[in-house]
Amino acid sequence: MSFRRILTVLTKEIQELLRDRKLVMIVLISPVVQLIIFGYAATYDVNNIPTALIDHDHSVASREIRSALQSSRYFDIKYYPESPGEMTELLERGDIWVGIEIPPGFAEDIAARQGAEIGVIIEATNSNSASITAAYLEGVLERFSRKSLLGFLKRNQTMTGLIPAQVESSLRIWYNPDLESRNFNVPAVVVQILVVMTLLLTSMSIVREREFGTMEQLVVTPIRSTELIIGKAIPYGLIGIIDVALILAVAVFYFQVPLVGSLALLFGTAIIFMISTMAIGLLISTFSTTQQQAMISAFFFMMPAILLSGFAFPIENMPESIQYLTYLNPLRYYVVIIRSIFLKGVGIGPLLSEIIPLTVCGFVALTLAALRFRKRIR
Amino acid sequence: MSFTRVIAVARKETLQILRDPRFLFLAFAFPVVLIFLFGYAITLDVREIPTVILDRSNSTHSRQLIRSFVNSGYFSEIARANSEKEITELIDRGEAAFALIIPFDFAEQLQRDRAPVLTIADGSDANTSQSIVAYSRRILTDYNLKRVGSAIGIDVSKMRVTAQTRFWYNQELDSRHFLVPGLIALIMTTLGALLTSLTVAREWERGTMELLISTPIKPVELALGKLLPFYVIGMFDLFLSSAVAVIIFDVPFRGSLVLLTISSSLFLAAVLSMGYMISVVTRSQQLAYQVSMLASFLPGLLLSGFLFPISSMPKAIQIISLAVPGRYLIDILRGIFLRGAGLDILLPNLLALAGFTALFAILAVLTFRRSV
Amino acid sequence: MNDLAVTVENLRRKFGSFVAVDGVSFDIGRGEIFGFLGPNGAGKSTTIRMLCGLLRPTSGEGRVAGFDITRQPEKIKTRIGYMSQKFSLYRTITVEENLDFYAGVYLMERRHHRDRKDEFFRQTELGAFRNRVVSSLPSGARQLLALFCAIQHRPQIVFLDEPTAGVDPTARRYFWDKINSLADEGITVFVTTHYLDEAEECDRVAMIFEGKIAAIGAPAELTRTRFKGRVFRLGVENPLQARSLALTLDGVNDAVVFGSELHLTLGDAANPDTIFRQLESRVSFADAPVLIEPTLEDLFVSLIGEERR
Repeated sequence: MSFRRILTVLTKEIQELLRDRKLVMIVLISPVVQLIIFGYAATYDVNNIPTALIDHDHSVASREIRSALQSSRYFDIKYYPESPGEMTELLERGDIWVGIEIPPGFAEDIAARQGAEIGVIIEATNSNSASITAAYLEGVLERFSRKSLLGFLKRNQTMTGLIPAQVESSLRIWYNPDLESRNFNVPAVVVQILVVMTLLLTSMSIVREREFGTMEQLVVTPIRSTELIIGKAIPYGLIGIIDVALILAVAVFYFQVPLVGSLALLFGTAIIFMISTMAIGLLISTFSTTQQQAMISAFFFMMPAILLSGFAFPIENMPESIQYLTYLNPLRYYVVIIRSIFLKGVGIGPLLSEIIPLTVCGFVALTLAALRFRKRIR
Repeated sequence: MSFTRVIAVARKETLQILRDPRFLFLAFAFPVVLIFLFGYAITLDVREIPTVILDRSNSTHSRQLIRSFVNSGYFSEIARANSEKEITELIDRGEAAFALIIPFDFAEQLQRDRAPVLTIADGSDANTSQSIVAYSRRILTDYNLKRVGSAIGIDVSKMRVTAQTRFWYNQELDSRHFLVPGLIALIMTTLGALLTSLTVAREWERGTMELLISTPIKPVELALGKLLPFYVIGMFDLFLSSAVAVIIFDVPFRGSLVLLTISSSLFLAAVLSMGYMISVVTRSQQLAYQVSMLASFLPGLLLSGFLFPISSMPKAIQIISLAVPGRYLIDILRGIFLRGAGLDILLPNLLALAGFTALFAILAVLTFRRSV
Repeated sequence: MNDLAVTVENLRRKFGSFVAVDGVSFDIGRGEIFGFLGPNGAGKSTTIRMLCGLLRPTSGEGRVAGFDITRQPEKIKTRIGYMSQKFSLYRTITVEENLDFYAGVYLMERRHHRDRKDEFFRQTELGAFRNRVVSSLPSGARQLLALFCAIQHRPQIVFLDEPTAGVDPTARRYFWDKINSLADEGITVFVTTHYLDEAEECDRVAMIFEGKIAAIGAPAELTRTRFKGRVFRLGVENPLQARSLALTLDGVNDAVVFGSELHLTLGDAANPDTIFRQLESRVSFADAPVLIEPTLEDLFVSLIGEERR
């Protein structure tokens, strides 16, 4: 294997790249833009849920419910409609997500120990948020119930001694104490951007040679397939690393996403990951004679791969058969790795169970690609 | 304007498309693949949170507490730990997202004042942790209330304030109802921007566009002719995806088919014009791909309300999302599918889409003229 | 090792059911300029690709620079240069960068390459384009560059696939001067072309049609030995009319229009006077008929005509 030939190919790739100003800009700017959009847009947080409240009772009890809701950070009572019809309209227009109706006689029912019922409507098109909202709401109500129960017991002092101890829990949230969605999503964006850049650019670079005819010229020279591939991979690997660095900079300094783990580990695993993606890009190029085919094939692969990587949709919630499928997806491993490095700061040890399969994926992809990529036109 | 010329261009485009198997697959099969993916695989719903339990008390009471967590259906016990170290390991490895640690003197403490337990949630998984916070709190409060009730001998259900909750538009709380209409919009965005910009950019690269320009064909006729096949494909995809969603995934369809057709047509027109414009400006396939990914696909994915609710985003981003055509379509689609919304409610969105269509169409023709 | 640069025996290549090259055999000596002449689709490019190790033959044997084309293609590649039909250069980088690239790929010694580069710029007077991006070059310059990229590493054999397609006459002339000087240096040149005037410049020519070799030999010899009949040139006022008329006459094997001239190929047995008299009665002659040497073109056309019949 000739290092000089690898260097020659490398030089030419870089020369071509640098001459394409627009592409250079896109390659540098696009990841940053993507990160910024993602960083701001991607949030699962359920806070300040727009709520409407109709109080038919106007009692101390009902006002207590109201202030309990208002003081929780989850609900933001924006409207006090006059009628259920008005509330329905608000819901339909999407101005509120939750409509609460306190019936008349609410306080009386509680005093008479009859149990009281509040009417709630939750806009459930986003079922996830809806479930969480319902849970929060019930939590507020349960706390109210307990308070009123204890109050009742205290007033009837005979029963005071019978009040049992309460179980309290201090919920510790590890690694992301503010439950900042961004800290969860941003690291995953690194994966997404890396995939798009390295996979696509690598496969395009080879297909372009085929489309413009220079591949034929290359094949006729004594250059080896490995020399050609390595020479082409290095510049795009470099681009990947630069993009990672750029994204990291924005993530850490602009979004203040904590980066607890080791940078060396991050870049090291990034390189392993890129070997997989570039190998897949190479594989795609062996199936494509035109750029358009390459792009479409790349898209075919990337969309499901990204969606099933665990970056936005938890793999544990997927059906078994699909979960098995994701074991073939290198993205899946790297999403876990990068989140762990960012938020948990773990060392290599706990990550081995992800790094090893990732490396295996890389090998398999490389082998497949090498088998198919032959130095012949046909 | 000569329709004959438009049809001639459209016919050539169609023939080219029909001869390209990969293109055909992307245009027709891929959307269905995506819908299946989303229908089967992808869900935002959080259930069976993997939980690890460390029960140092090992008493009736501790077991009761554990049961109340496990029986709720939200938490699923995956392991019993013997030490905190084990818990740390499991959470670090990502195998557990929630831990419940009951101290050895739990039973005794229950006879006294307060019985603390420790719960740990893996915050690195933001989606799950929200649910963990909500559900664990509720379970504990519920547990406490029951204890109070049984201690006093009162039927606690009589002392509670409960909510009679109705979940509108999505009774079954099926996240697919939420995702699938959004997915349809995303598919059309992809088709419109991505495929269109690629196809036209390719003609620029190959030089055949110059050939076309040298004929008496007008820019408008050229644009229409080229985009017509994609429009047909787009509408076909729309109906195909909707059918799959409704028939196979039980996504309800409560609104008007006519409204669906009109709004989708408008949207397609907007998105196709945008793709055309991108290709005219970039003239290179690779660049067109990158730009359309950035300018239309990504916003369509992230800023349209497809995955993440727009109302939860910062104000500045919400304003930017106003420029994303997908946002309006998703609103309309969800309205039509899930809420049975009529013209009166959807009108503002429709007008916005119409505005976009007009804007992009004009821009596309203008940029084309200027570049020639 | 004998003095033969290329030997080919019964080479065949099928694409599906289509036979592109149908049992072709020939030898090329060292330092020869060997031309492969034929219309588009005859099998020229396919043959060259097999010889260069780009395509695997369906059957048959071949040796290039002493190596077997089926079993040792990589060894062949170290000894040859190739200029493809699309003369593919990297369009977005400069002339010099292209030269450097191919030099690197062939592992040329740096000083040697520097000298060769200077020689190139000197000889072609393309020094001004040294740092210009290839896409901005006129096509003649691009062709020269592509040729040089194929020969700068001093290969033993050079394969040129339609190297002068679409190039102006001056550049074409330069090209062939270059090819001749290569041959003088002992480099074997295998060139495919469909220009018959170029074919005349080759040492030997193989005429290929529909995958088979119709004739092979030195151009002058070929026309002398293989051509049947006599060729007359006459100027007529209405060539097309004269042509269709001539073809109806007995003894006229072929009639081809060249501008305002008509080339008539008469069979050996035919009587020219009779034929011309018959013709003149219907069509007026601008110039009297003159007997001319048959060109390769005439030969080629007649051979094809024979094949077809």
